Amino acid sequence: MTEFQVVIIATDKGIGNSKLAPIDDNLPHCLLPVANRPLISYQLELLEKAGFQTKNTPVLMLVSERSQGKIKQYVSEIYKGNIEVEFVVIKDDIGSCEMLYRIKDKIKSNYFIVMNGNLIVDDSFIRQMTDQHRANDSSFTVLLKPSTKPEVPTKTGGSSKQAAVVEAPSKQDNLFTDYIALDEKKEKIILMEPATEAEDNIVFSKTLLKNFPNLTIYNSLQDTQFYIFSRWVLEILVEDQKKHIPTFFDLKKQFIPYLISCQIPDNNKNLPASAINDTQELALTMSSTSSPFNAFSQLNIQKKKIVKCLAYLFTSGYCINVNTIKSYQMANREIAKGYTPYLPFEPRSEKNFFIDQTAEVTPTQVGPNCVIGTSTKLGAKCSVKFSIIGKHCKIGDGVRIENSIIMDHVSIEDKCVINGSIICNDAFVKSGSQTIGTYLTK
Amino acid sequence: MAVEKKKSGAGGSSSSTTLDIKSDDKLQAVVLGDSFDRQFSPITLEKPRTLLPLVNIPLLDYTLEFLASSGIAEIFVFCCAHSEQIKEYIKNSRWSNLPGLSVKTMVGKDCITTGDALRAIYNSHVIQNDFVLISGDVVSNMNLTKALAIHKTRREQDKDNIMTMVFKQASPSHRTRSKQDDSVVGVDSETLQLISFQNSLEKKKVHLPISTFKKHPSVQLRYDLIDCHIDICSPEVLALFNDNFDFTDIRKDFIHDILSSELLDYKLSTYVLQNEYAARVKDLPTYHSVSKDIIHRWTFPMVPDNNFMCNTSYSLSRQMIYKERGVKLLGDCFVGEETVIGFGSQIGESSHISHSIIGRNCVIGKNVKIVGSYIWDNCVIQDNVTITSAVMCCGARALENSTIGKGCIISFNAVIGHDYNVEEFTKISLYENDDSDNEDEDEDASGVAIHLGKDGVGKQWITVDQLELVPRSEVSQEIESESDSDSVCSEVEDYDEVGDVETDYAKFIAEVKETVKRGINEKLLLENIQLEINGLKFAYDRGSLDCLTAILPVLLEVPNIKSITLKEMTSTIQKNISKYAKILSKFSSEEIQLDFIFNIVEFCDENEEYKAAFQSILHSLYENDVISEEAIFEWADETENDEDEENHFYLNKCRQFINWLKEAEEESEDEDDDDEDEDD
Repeated sequence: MTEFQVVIIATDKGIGNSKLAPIDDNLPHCLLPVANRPLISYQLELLEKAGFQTKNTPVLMLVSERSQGKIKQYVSEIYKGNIEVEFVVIKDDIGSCEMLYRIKDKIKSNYFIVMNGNLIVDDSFIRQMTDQHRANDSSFTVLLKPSTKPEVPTKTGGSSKQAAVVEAPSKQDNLFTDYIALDEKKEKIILMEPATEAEDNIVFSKTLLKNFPNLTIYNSLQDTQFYIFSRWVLEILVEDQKKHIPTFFDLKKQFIPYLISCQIPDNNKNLPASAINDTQELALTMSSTSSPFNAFSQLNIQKKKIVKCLAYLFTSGYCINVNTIKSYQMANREIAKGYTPYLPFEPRSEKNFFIDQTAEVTPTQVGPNCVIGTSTKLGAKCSVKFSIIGKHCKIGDGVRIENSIIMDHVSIEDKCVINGSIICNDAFVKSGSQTIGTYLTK
Repeated sequence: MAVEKKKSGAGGSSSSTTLDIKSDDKLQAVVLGDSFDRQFSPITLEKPRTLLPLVNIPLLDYTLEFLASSGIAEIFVFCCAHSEQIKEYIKNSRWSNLPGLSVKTMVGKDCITTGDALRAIYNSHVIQNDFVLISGDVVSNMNLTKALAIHKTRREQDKDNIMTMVFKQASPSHRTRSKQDDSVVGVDSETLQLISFQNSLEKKKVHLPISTFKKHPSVQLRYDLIDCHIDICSPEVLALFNDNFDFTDIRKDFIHDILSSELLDYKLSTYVLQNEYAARVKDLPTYHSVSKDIIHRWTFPMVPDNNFMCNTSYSLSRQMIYKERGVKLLGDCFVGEETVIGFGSQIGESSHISHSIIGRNCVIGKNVKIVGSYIWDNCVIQDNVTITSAVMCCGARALENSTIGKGCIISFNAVIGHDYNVEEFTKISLYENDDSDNEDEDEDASGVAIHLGKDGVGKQWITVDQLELVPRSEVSQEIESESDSDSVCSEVEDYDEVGDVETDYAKFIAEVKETVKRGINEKLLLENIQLEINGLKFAYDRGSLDCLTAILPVLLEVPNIKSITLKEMTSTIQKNISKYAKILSKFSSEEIQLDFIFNIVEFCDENEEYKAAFQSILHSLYENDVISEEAIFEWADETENDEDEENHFYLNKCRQFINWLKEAEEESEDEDDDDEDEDD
């Protein structure tokens, strides 16, 4: 995996629009704990598992000015893996296209991957997807996954109130379900209309239909914001950024739709010279059957390359974009269950919960699918079900915690009831209070 | 409102569906024997489309054979225009006495739309079961049984599946696709339910409302389907037509209404053919391509040498040449590939025939050249005639040394005179319009007396909105260039709609110019030029102003414009305008004259050479009654008030003329009558 350099967009805004307020108010998005692990650790683990060589082509991590300190601290001090990371600090108001423009000289490989810092995904697909990209000489490949069906809340913890929390309004969910058109072989991506941009109608021009007369539009696929680009597309961006007012701001909203529209031949768009494909020529010169006198073979070389945008459908495995509170809760719950390839750092016990050795907990207080972090103290007669409790928390006596996420350094006084809630770092919950389905920040 | 009516219809039809169960499984089909359009005029003025010979066998026979071979037991042929001919034909054909198949004709004299026809069928109460609704001009070898079975299971699953439409997969530029057919079909990719059906040539974009995705998570949008006009319908379809008396067409009204109605749960489904053949002879181009397909045996078993109508005797020889018994080829005549020759026809010495279909009992003289043409029965073609890509209907004659250009239609019994050269795309017919007070007829088509050489008989028909047998070269080029420039980039999307109107307009301008030029060159009567332009005006839905603006530049054309002096130029322009002003004045009216002047200004702006001649243009238009003095004054006033100095250029140019006009007016205020005489 030396041919693919990775760019992780870990700025606060990221690609697309996350709807995580208020829980990411005091914490960079990519450091949000998911089952007591920062989100970023999942990506680094993914790259490690997939075998990316980062010696000469370090992972470029784009961070905001505001949050750079915390993220750098995490990667340099806490992270122990062997992925080399180079940080690039990006101002807040810069679009993702300009970000790529800024780091263009740092991208050395022929292909590069752009992924969003909010993605948790199995590593199994990467090899196939990169192969597909290379084999088809694609310009751009996107990872799509079937959009998640509203999950039926787990029976055990399932009070009716909890169900109400889990079934968040699907309207927000729709924001991340784009309108995606694929060709008949489900290979080429023909149209990607971000749900945020779509108005009442999706419009297809007849020229497009002439080139792709049999296409299927899905409203059931999600863009995971994991993209592979060929290096030459950067040149389009470079050209564009030279303009007085660049056309492209956001990767997803402008640049990718543009790239997709370039697939139609005779679309008089100025593609850079490097878009021209010479691998065929190279192959011919290396082939033993071709001779320099064989003029016919020269005729067959396709000089003009048309842009090719492919889709890779994620079929099996775990994949989630943590971009809404609902998906944040879901990721926490599912990783705590321990059946995804990613596990919490805390040791797993037989009863399928994860408790750090330094935590002061009586195992009987804790139900399955729970994670409890370092040095957390649980008072007497507490009960914790389907919940995640971070590091250095103090929890008083007789507290009941169900289906909740409690981050680090939280103190909860006696006899509280916490259900379906998210309690952020350093929060304080007074004794006897009940929080149901709320998000508490400091 | 229409929807409420339908509801009651659904209730009414439910009683008829209970009947279904009792009645036996006799398969029924309704053949629409009338196309309700004028694509084949002037031929169809004398003979119904369904009886036109396609590779020497009437179209209807293909449709009936297709239905009969699919196990349909009862066929109703519904005819409107020329119903006697169809009745007569069926009575005398083998269809009238086939075991296990009954072919009945129904006559609806007053029907002018498909909707009327379906209502008439509903009221005759002959249809009890699901039935096949097919146009009488469909050629197909598809396996209808399979489609029927699929329709049946869909019906069993959901009673609301009232119709299954048959589509054929073919590339957007497929030869059997009619130029009018530009349908984009939206289908639920899992259930194959029809979601959207848009067929509009004008629209360059297809809109798919986002709300569709609520019910259908994935939608297949297909531009590679040809509507075969074979529909498997349930009796409810007829009931719905009966309840909605405003439905005229299945495609335009019925399907559109069902798909957009939120109250009704009726569903339409699709069935897509991949390897089977189905095509509708919709217009002349499809007539051409379907003929070719039959010759190339795509329609097997419906090919000439199969002699499926049992009254032919074709045999196939190499290079796709089909000949019936009794064909006389004299001397050194040459019969090239893709040719069909009917019984009793005779081809003279040194004649050359290829890519053509010759009917029965034709007599073709010496040294004749026929390429890519359709010569129906009993035609006479005398010596030294050349026919290229034309249709000659039964009994037509081309006398010695005449030439028939491409795209021509020589209708029944018309005669092309000696040495006469028929211009490309001319249509000649003998048909006389009996009921001249029928206004619809006049609007769409009309006969114009034309000289057809010595002994020639016939009138020229000018048709609008009709597709030609072979494409007019310049038009096809335009279409190509259009598609090249059509961009899909999102940034320019908003301007695209405007662009469409623009290209349409440009086409119109080009055609008008062409017409005027041709008219002037051929010294046609000015009335005829007027008539043609009027036709174009309706065809493109343009106003009189556009006509004026289009015609004027042709009249202003001066040879060697760059080298001649201003004086020469003005005199030529004046001469031209006064000669052809009649064409202009026909379109000129008070309301548009002011705009017309502005358009002239614009034209001069674009063509530097004419700037100097502006005054004389205006003057001659005024003298020839195209522009009134009121309009000129009005224009002068408006320009005067214009802030922009540039626009004053023209005003200054013709200041002299305007002053003269003003003086003339003041003088004439006393003697009004005089002034009018002067104008003439």
